[in-house]
Amino acid sequence: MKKILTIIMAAFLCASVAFADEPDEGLHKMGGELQQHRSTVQTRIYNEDVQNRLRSRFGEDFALKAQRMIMKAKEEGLPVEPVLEKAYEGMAKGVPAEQILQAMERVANRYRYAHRHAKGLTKEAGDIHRVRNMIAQCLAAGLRDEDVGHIAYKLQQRAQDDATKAEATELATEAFRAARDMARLGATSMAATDTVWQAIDHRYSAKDVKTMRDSFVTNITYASSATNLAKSYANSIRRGEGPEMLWSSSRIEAAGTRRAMEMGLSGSDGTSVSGGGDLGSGGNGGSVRSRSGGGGRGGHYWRQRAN
Amino acid sequence: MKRYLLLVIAFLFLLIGCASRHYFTVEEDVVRMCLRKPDAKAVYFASSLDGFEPVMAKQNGDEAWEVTVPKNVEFRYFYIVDEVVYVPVCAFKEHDDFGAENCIYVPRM
Repeated sequence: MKKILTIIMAAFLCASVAFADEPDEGLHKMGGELQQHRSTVQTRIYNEDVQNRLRSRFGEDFALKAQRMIMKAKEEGLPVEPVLEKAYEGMAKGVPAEQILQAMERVANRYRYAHRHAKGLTKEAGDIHRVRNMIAQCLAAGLRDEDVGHIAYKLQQRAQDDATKAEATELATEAFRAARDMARLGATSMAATDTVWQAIDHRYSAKDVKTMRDSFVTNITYASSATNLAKSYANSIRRGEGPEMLWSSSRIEAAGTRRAMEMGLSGSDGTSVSGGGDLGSGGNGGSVRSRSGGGGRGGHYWRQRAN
Repeated sequence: MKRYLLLVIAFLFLLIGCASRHYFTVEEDVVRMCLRKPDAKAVYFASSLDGFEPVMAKQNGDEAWEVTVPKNVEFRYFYIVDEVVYVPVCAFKEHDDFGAENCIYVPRM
């Protein structure tokens, strides 16, 4: 009886989590009478007096500090909107003035760091802004500075082989977009970076990286976690799979991992289980890595970076 | 024991029924963001669409609070429920630089 109770409780708890935030598209057939109760958010252009809004809320001193920060960002050619937006967000959340200033500084620093890397990846002003914004969003999503640096380094290596600059820029944009979305979905910085790093290393095109990202976003619902899915994708790419095969390959790997666990195999010797997936990477890349040899493709990005 | 089992099931149903639930519905030009918080007295929606200006949500017949937003734009958002910031369960998230997170709406292209 206790077992039954436990199962029922587990099922209910899982259900409550699973239902959360499901886009309920069926509901859009609701009656017209509900329409009149709606409130509408209109996209607003930043046309109001920023200084006044900040001054009225936090006083002259805060407004001046904030204004100085914004002017500095502008002088450096960084976008002002994200810094301003952070101030507004802090105000809406009722955050103390000092913390808002710190957060604004963090945003400016993100864009500063992103701008530096973007300039190393592309030369056209428009492209620099596009890549910069993508990198800044990666950092906001949880990618660490050094991991962004690793991806940028790999992209620079790859750019030497790519046929055109446009191709290289497109790949950079898609690579950072993929890393951003994996991080936004909850993958760790290391897992997201390793996956993207493997894709670049295995000569995925910008279109391939986009296919990989789409597959990741679509199939995250069925994965145990974003980090595990990212690890599985990285392992599949390491094995030489194309972007269309990543999901099915990950499922096979997860099934193999489960079987190995049931049989009592640890996978730690790197021979029977290919590492990653639901078991975690184990840090050695498994048998695949030993096949590919130390200097070639197949290792984790941080190991190859050290070579 | 059976009575105990029934009580547990009833309690769990009650728990799920009271739980807040966040969902959105995509319509022709807009997305309807809904937050089921039957006990809330006032719910505001704040997003990067308009500089996080809190917009009062309206209650619909489903005991949910709702606002409509443009469909094809990515934005960050959170709710303010009875003067407390509330970040619902959502697929895409990012750090908010204040020690918490924001939800991100990503349009399906």
